[in-house]
Amino acid sequence: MSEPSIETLKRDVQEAFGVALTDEQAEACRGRLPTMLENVHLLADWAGRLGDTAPAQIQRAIEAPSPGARSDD
Amino acid sequence: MTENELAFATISDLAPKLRSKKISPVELTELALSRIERHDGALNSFITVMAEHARMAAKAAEKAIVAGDYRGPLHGVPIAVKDLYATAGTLTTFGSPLFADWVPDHDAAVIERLKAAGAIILGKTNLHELAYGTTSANPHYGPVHNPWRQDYHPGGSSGGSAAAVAAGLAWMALGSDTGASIRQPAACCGIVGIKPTFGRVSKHGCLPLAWSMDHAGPLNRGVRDAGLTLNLLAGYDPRDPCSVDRPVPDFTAGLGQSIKGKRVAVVRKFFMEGGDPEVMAAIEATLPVLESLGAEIREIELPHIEDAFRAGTLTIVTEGATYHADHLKTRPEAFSAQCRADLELGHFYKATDYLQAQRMRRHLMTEIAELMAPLDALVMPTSPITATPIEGNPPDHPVYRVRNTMPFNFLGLPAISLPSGFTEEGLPIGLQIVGKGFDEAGILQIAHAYQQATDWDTRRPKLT
Repeated sequence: MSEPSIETLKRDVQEAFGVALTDEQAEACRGRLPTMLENVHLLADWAGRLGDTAPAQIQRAIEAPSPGARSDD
Repeated sequence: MTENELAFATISDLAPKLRSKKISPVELTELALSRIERHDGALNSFITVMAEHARMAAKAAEKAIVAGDYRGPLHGVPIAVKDLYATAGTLTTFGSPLFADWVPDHDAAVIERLKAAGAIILGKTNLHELAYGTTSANPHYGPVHNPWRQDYHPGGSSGGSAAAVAAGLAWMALGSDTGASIRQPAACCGIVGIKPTFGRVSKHGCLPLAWSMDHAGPLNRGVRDAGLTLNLLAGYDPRDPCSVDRPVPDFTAGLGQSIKGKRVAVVRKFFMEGGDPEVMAAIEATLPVLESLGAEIREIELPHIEDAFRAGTLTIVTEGATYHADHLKTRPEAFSAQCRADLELGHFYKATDYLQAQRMRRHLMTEIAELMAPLDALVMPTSPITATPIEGNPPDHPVYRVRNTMPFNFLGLPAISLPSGFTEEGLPIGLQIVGKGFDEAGILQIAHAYQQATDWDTRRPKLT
């Protein structure tokens, strides 16, 4: 598969991420942007399959210190 | 023991000799410091050598052991620490000019545990800038060189830790792993590296790259040493919001027991596609060895593993961009152009993209748990390629270096890399064994059985 042109890349980035790149920026990130665009399309493919799945989270409730343990000195 | 035998001994070999006072921590420390002096000019594995601290700690360990206060297998053993962990009173750079002068007033949780166990810290090891990369070609502190071939990368980001252990400069080193960074350098340098289950080892005091992908763990010369070290590092820490409060088993308890009947599945699809044919042949050759030890070898496909890899890359870049957002804005000149560009791309993704990736993550974690239910472990190459040249790196290599390891950061599963062969050129090859969540003991048992049946771990690099 041939590499997308800078114009195509800029258009696709604007569409997927809402970011307007200059020619120079698009050229500098040319290696990584196609993968990022594929990743966004992958997420769109998965959206319909996830049903009511909640996100994986790093979350643990924090126990507040009791008033007796607090030091305001 | 000759100097070379001592320098390349395992902790398991040394511990009884230290306990019975046949070897002195002072002698070991002086040996390590002299080897660092002799060889690290070429390897560049350390950013900071803590010679004075190490000598004092060695004397204290010797005094304690002589007085009968032996604290366990790491007591009196000189080790190295990736310069990503806060170390009280010692320069801690994270491999970046952002922290070039930072001397913390506290220790990271893993350092606290190692010091309490009487380990002797020799110094802080070089790494990929901010741990975001897999070559350890640090533009600010110089590239780390692979002991097996010095014009090659040692892997990364824990490249300095891997090179130091492989070169006999330290008997163990701490690493961290967000996508590959313990296992891939372990594979490239012919040693053992274990990434425990997410939450098993505290990351308090470790610079984040991506909160939900980062894991702390050790690099060792042998599988038993990995178990001994993990015994010490594992455990709940309320200061780390990712830390999991559950019992910690003795990770060495099953070592030496038969693996007869263990159900081990090779995953050829995805993990063995492309890459270096010599690596694939070496991994295929591990299967009859495991079978001869009694393991039942099967094959399995993980249908959405490429999606896990892709969502993992998205997660790392967005979390990394978030953590470094302020520095990117206020001190952009303190990043290399490559690191800055890589992190800035993380700002492109939307909050909804990130959350969709985390929904996928939960779905895939459940899916793989079901697929692994009838199995004990998965096997595949740690990396589909071996170490690569420092100059003239092929463009597809950055993806290859993390492809086989990152999915298990995304899924949080424990995974170990151990030596499983060499290419004709003499570069090490790593076998990755992946377990069910919190079953580090299971993969250590299989890895140990394989290591006992082979001699890949006994080869040593020729140092200049």
